[in-house]
Amino acid sequence: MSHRQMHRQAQLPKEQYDLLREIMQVGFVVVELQLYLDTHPNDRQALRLYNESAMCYHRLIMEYQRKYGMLMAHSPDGTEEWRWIGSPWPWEINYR
Amino acid sequence: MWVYEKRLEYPVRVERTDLRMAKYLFAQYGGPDSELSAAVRYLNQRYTIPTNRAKGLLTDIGTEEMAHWEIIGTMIYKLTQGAPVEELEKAGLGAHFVEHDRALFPHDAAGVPWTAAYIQAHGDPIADLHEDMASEQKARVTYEHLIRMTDDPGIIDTLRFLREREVVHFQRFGEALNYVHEYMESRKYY
Repeated sequence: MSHRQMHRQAQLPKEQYDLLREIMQVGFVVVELQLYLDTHPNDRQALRLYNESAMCYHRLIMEYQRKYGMLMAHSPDGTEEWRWIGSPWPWEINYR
Repeated sequence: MWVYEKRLEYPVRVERTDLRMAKYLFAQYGGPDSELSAAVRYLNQRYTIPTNRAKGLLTDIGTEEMAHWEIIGTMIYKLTQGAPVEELEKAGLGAHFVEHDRALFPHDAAGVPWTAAYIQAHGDPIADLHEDMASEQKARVTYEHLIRMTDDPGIIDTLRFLREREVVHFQRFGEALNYVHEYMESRKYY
């Protein structure tokens, strides 16, 4: 197999890509608030925002995983096939 | 432990194969101020740092740095995929091809392999947090240099995101340092 054949470029369907982008956006909010709370543990407004964002994040992850297979390792995958290795890897996705 | 999420923290849009830029990006893949150095530095320092705030921060920023290392790896992969050997050689990646083909390897922009000598851990929270703050500034300026080397809007967008993260991490480490000072004064360590 030549090196060209080994390279994969995956174009995700629009609906799937849009959901992935939303997960990336909300996931970033969660990361940013987590770091902020590490040095501002008594900021109750930030904690409330963190909890809201984290709940939203997990809702989106569950929705994505129901439709397209596992995004987070160690999640249940209720289908008959092992979709973890079948879906494109992060470095193969064609971002747009 | 860690759990892998099969996604990037931030998208990597690449307009075209650009081997020259890929070579420069190795600075942040395996150079002194690379994302790899940052991840190993923080995740290694956290065991002996005295405050829970700093332990949390080193754990969480160290984890985010691994996600940044993945973003840089993705950029290099996308910029080099399908490139013919002659083009790699013309872009100064001939030596890389001889030793690694098109596989990634943690070396800097000049091909010097990554070494743990780039990082430190003194077991002293003041010294360690100052090192961490300095490393964020060094990574920030490296990103600014990288941004000057390309006109690809997708690459610039991702590099600007990574640059901004260095600024935020610097801020958070500074806050952790102030708290360590308070903590040490309350313990009358000196």
